[in-house]
Amino acid sequence: MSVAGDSLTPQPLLELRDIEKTYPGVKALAGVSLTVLPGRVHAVLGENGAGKSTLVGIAAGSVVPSAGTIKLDNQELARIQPRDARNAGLAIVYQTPALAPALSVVDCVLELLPDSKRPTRAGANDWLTAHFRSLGLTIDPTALVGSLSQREAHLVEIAAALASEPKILVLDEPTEALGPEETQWLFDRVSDLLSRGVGVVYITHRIPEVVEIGRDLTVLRDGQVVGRGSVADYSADEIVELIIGRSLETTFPAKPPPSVAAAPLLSVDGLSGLGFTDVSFHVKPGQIVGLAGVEGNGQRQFLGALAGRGPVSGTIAVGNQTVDRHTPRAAIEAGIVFLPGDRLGEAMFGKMSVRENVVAPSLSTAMPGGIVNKRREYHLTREATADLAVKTASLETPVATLSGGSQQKVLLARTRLESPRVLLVEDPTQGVDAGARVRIYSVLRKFAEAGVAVVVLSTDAVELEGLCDTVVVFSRGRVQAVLEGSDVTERAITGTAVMSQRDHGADGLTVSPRRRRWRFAGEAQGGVLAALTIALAVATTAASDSFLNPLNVNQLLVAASVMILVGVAQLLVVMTGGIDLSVGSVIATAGVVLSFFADQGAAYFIVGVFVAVVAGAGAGMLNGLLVTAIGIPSVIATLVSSIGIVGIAQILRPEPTFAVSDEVAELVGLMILNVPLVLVIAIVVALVVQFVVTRTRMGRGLRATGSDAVKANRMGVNVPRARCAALVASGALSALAGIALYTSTTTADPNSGQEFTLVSVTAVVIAGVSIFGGSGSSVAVAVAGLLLATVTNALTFLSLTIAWQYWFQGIFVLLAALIPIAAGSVRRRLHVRIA
Amino acid sequence: MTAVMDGQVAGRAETPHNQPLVRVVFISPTTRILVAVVLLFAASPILAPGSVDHIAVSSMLPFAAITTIVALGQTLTIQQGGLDLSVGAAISLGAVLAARYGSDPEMGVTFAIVLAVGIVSLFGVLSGLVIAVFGLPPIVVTIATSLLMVGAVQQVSGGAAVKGSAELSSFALRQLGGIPVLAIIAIAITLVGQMILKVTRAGRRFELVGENATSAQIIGISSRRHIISAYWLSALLAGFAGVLLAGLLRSPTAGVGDNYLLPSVAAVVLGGTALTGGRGYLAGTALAALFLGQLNQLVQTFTQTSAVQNLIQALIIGACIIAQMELGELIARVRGRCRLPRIQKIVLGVKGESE
Repeated sequence: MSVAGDSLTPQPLLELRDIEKTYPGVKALAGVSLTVLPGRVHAVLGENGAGKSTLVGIAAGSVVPSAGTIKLDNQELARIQPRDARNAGLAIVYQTPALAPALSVVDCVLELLPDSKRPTRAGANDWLTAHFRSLGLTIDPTALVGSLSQREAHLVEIAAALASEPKILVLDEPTEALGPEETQWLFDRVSDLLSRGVGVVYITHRIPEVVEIGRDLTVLRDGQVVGRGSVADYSADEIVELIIGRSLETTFPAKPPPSVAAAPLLSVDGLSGLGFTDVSFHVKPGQIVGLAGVEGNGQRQFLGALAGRGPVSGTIAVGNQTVDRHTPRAAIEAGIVFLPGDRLGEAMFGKMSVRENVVAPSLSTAMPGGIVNKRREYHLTREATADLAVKTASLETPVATLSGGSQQKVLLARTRLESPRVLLVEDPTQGVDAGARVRIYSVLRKFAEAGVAVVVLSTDAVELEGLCDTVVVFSRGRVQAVLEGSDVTERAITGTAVMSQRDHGADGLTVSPRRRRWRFAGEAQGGVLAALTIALAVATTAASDSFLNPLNVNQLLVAASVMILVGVAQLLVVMTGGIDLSVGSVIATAGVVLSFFADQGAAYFIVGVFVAVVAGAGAGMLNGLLVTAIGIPSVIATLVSSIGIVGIAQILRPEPTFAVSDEVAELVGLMILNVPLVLVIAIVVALVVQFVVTRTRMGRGLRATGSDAVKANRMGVNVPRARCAALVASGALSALAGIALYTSTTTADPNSGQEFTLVSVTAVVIAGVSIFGGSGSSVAVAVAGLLLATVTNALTFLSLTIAWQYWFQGIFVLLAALIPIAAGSVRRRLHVRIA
Repeated sequence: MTAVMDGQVAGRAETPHNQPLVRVVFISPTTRILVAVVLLFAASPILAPGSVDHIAVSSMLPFAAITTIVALGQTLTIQQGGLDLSVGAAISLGAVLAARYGSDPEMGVTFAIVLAVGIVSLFGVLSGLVIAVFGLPPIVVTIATSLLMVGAVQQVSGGAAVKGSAELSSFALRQLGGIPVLAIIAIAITLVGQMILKVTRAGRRFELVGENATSAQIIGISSRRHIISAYWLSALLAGFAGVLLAGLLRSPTAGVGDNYLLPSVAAVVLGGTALTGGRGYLAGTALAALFLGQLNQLVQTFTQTSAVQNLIQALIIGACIIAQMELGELIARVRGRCRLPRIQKIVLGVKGESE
């Protein structure tokens, strides 16, 4: 298969030497070296949590090694940035696609390409469509990544990697989410690359694939290299033994003979929910039943639904008792205990102690009188952990510092205290070292022997074969097959799961997202706000003609320009997932600074404008450094700095000061086609920001950062720089808002401007900007600014008190934030009902 | 020397319950702030003679007490991984309601206090409901309720100062055994809160939900109820602080609470409660509020200009927050403890940035 570099000793493309990586409490990698040669596939093998993904993450720059060197493109480095790795010719396809969900497909692909291969933004859509077509894919470049399935996102990431014409291609379990046709498609592409001298790193735990395309192999176990060499030198069975580190017989507890008589303890009939349909399923006491299937086929959602997550239809019964309500609490009351696979995220209390974690679900037992009794807690903890060998310094050690295996044991200990009737375990050995696995398997078997119905979801077919009495294979949300007794083999499990993917392949390599990003979604919200503004203006005019008086309209438009500028400033920060509470103080300070330049000529005033904007950017830089260099959350950082900034303004102008020369007054009163100059400037700023955000690389970086900072970092976005840039821009734009305010008041008041902080957040929220970061339209924000200015202005004409100004804003914010969420929830419920 | 390397096996007799008491006390964040308070009071007479005499302290304590009461509520919301930006407006609303209706002889002071605290706490329930049920970011929600409360303040006060009741005022200025009554109230609330949080089942549940609401939900603890109660109590305490402030100032203005938002957050952070939620240190918060009060007092003896005071305060609070955050991390690192990602869940839904 390989053509280049066979005869001579080839120059390695990538060399990782003596790599170490330590996570809190865990040594993920110790002294691992890896050499990738041109024109060959280097397979990296190991169980879940053996350190494979960490290793390639280090090569790609998304993980910082604790020690060791990376030699890439003839440069030896201690660490590498994701972007530099890509520019050096390394392309990576992650196990979970690292694509920021708020970005469009084309945005993501552009970001993933090395600088030398990136087309211009204007022609990008056509270029990408052509590229997809050349690969045999039909994907809409404008689709939103968040609306793609995992499989579709994978194909996009693979296509991007191919487009970057890499020297090294890293594939991390690429076939997990793909069907057989797609896998073949990928292998064809890989052999194409090999013939051009590209080195491929291939992570998998599917042995047949290794035998098919692998040339070299490195096997990792518990973060160490336990085998390396040529694939041809090993048989498939030898590879499996290297990976597991022992024979299968000694790893798994013996299975009991199948009991015929017992009635099922857990009975599920016709259960449907989000991601799965009409699943019927029975577990007898003493049985361990495995859930298998290719990732994303509903098995995870099904397990979660058994634990009371999400709306479902159908029945779940434990013994004779039906679980009526579908909540976690009802499940627990029925005796169903769920151990989620994301241990630190969903199961444990990371910063709390071993003791607190073990007794957490059994507080009634631990504190019968409702009062803490530590001795009792210690006693219970010791009892529950008795034979589990949890490695910990003391019972007060935070669980997050324990190894993955010890964490899982703490969870099992806590489950013992709960005496469950049904035990649901998701990925029981994810990130668990080989020694602890054996103990965890035996504990699960002991639960079964004690009469518990055990359900285990695992991505590892070997594990399911060794542990389970019965395995249920899912496909497209339905039960594809039930394997029992001697049919429970790795081959049968993987075979059935992959076979069922055929149906997937039938519709070809097409990506047809269910929900496309409508190109003007943000602007549509702007349209609604504009309609509201007009309606309000008409109503106000009906109440009082003087609303349309030119003087009042002019005043309204100037006020609107302040709100537009400050809203756009806030938008940039919110888009990166932060908030800037210092915008009001910057507005005040800008006015103060400007006032020193306002009592002379127009040229001098323009210098003042410049100085004020620079001062605002400086304040933004201070915020940016606090947030990125020191790591203070933006809300706290900007809250503190806002007080300091006001302090400076107060020192400069202790009292409100009126300062304006005739020449300056003429300048600021300037109208363009009957529109105040400042409004023109504000609109231009909003349009420029809109362009930057949607069409430039910097804008992509901002949106990716706010959408998912970890994925953005993997994509090569400099996340701290994006956050800092947003805050600096916010400072500068707030200063512009301060200047706009000054032109209408011509008074420098250090104590003014604070209300604009709230206004800016209001404008951003009602403009439909995602308050979770990642997207937003500055045009919509501009319209929101106009609406808010109109509301404030109209109050007097409608004989409403000033209180209404605040009430309107508060109600607007709550409604604007709630409506999309409520709509989403209704959509989900409808979806379940239809299914 | 990590916890695992020298670790032992839990369950066997040799695993200690806990580290030696000396070490436990040494690493507690409450100890750190206690040391800071002691040092500050020791240094005060040297820096500014007369800054710790009876008059100075008893004029400082009532304001520190108000900061304490607000910051205790803030601790609860931060413990739930959130933040309450509406405390300033809640104080103002509590103050103007108490002043307005307390001075009305038909209502009576007691009724006015109950009314003020009750109304303000309803806004807290609103925040909590929206945050817990719809999962909206606390910052946005509390800004919205803050706007609603500012509107109410404007409606009640008309934007001007409200003349309050003499009865409330004389109560707020009273001293018991030479100690301002407000300080006694603040200490009492702190102690009761600390007791509930640390030695009852309810307190443990509250901490578990704060540490990880999803995990708590899965073991059958209602996260919503605890999150709602955090915002309810925060607003209730802020409203009560506003009532006391109305007594202290006699004629509270519409923006009287604005200056308490930053100190309330600063006191929580300095007191050792992590912004990512979880364990709460109410006593630490109270000590930190005392620290900030005395610091303010010191700054005031040096300069009467409020501008300079603002600037210095921001600098010192910023420096203290950084110190507390970095120090906690440093100790954690030295002890080989976990170094949790700095920004785990910032309140606007930001995820951690490092792997």
